[in-house]
Order: sequence, then C-alpha cells, then structure tokens
Amino acid sequence: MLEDLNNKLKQLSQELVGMHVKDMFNKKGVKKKKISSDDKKRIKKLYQDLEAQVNEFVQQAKERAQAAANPEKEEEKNNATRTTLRDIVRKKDEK
Amino acid sequence: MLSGRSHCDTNLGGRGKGHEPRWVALDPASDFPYTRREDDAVSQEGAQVSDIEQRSTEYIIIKNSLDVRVRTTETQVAASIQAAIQVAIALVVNLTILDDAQAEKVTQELLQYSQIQQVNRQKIYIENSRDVQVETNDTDIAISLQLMLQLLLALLVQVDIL
Repeated sequence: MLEDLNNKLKQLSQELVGMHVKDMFNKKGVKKKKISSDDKKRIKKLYQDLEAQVNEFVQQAKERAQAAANPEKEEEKNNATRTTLRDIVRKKDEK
Repeated sequence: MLSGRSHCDTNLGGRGKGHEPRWVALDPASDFPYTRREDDAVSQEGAQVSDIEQRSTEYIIIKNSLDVRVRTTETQVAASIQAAIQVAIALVVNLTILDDAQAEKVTQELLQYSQIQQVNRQKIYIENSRDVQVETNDTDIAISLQLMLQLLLALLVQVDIL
C-alpha cells in the first residue's frame, strides 16, 4: 500500500516537473535544434544508465532501511562472530 | 597530591559515599550504571579513544564504550550520480537549444532545482556507553536523486528525444 502511494506520488511529481519544463520552454520561446538519430540514441543510453544507477542506489537505501527496521537477524549475525576486547581480557584471565 | 577526581577513581572501589566511581569500558571489574556486578577480575587502566574519520565530513568518536555499532551510508556515491545528472542536463540543453544565450538561461534555471545540497557534517560522539547502535540514513539524498532524474526525463521529452 505504501509502495502504491509512493508510485502515485512519483508519477505526480513527474507530471509536475514535465509541466514546469514545458512552461519554461514556452515562456522563453525556445527554438530547438535538430539533432541526429545517433545523438538521440546516445542520449537515450546515457539516460538509461543514469536511471539504472539511481534505481540501484535507491534500492540499496531501501534494503539498509529494512535491515535497520529488523535488527534481530543482524544481532544474531553479529553475536555469532563478535569478540570484544572485554572477552579477550576475560579469556586471558581464565588461563 | 591526589586530585578529587583521581581520589574518587582509585579509592572508591565499591559504591562511594555520594561519589560514583567512573565506569571504565576496558575494566571487567567496573560496573556499568544500573547493572549488577558479574565478576571480579583484572583491573585495567582503560582510557582508549577510537577516532575514526570517515570521508571528509563524518567523524565518529567512540570513547570508553563497549558494544557500540555505528553504520553510515554511502554519500559519496550519491554525490557522483548527482554530478553526472547535472552534466547530462547541461549537455542535453546545449545540444538541443539553438540560441546559446537561451541555452545558458535554461540550464541555469533547471540546475537551480538540482542544487539540493545536502552537506552531511556528522559528528557522532559516544562516551561512557554500552550497547549503542547508531544508524545514519540517506533517504533525503535518494529523493533528491530521483527528482533530478525526473527533471532530466522531462527535458528529454520536451526536446523530443524520448
């Protein structure tokens, strides 16, 4: 449900940004250059790469947030391997 | 001559009269406040400072503490993606707008939106503590990156590339 809301907000934001850019171009009376289909392809590819990087970053941020929200698993994992300085001193003392 | 503080540390092994002895993380015989003594073992002078500098703007200082876990996020990755999107916006505008002066104005206006500076100057200072978990999040950066990408997409649609 939260995911749906996020997607709707993302869509809304995209529309608003689109309207703004269109409005800006109209107000300034921007005249466009014609660009070759090769350049178009290159720019498309550039956009897709950037999109992939942003999505990966956002996904990683989500995973980190989920791991933080569910700390029990992390705790178990850390307890299995953790050796504190206090443990070392204790072991030394026992010997 | 002993100062009041060191007198307190050295002579008040048990619960002092009105003076609590300082908790020392590296001394197993030292009791953390509000916990029961588990064992009597080695006494050790343990004022250890761990000063880890993470990147240019994050400082984590952990002093006289035990079981501390600090997790920070990759802000540098976000900064490089942000820079790449800014360059892409400028490039597309300059490639597709006929008038140079107009292209300059449009670039400036669009990049105003993308100049969401998030300077993370974090200083995490933990002292005399036990079982502490600190987590810093980068949600704001993720959102600003998405917004910039939307800006680039809108621009590409406007100039008939997408």
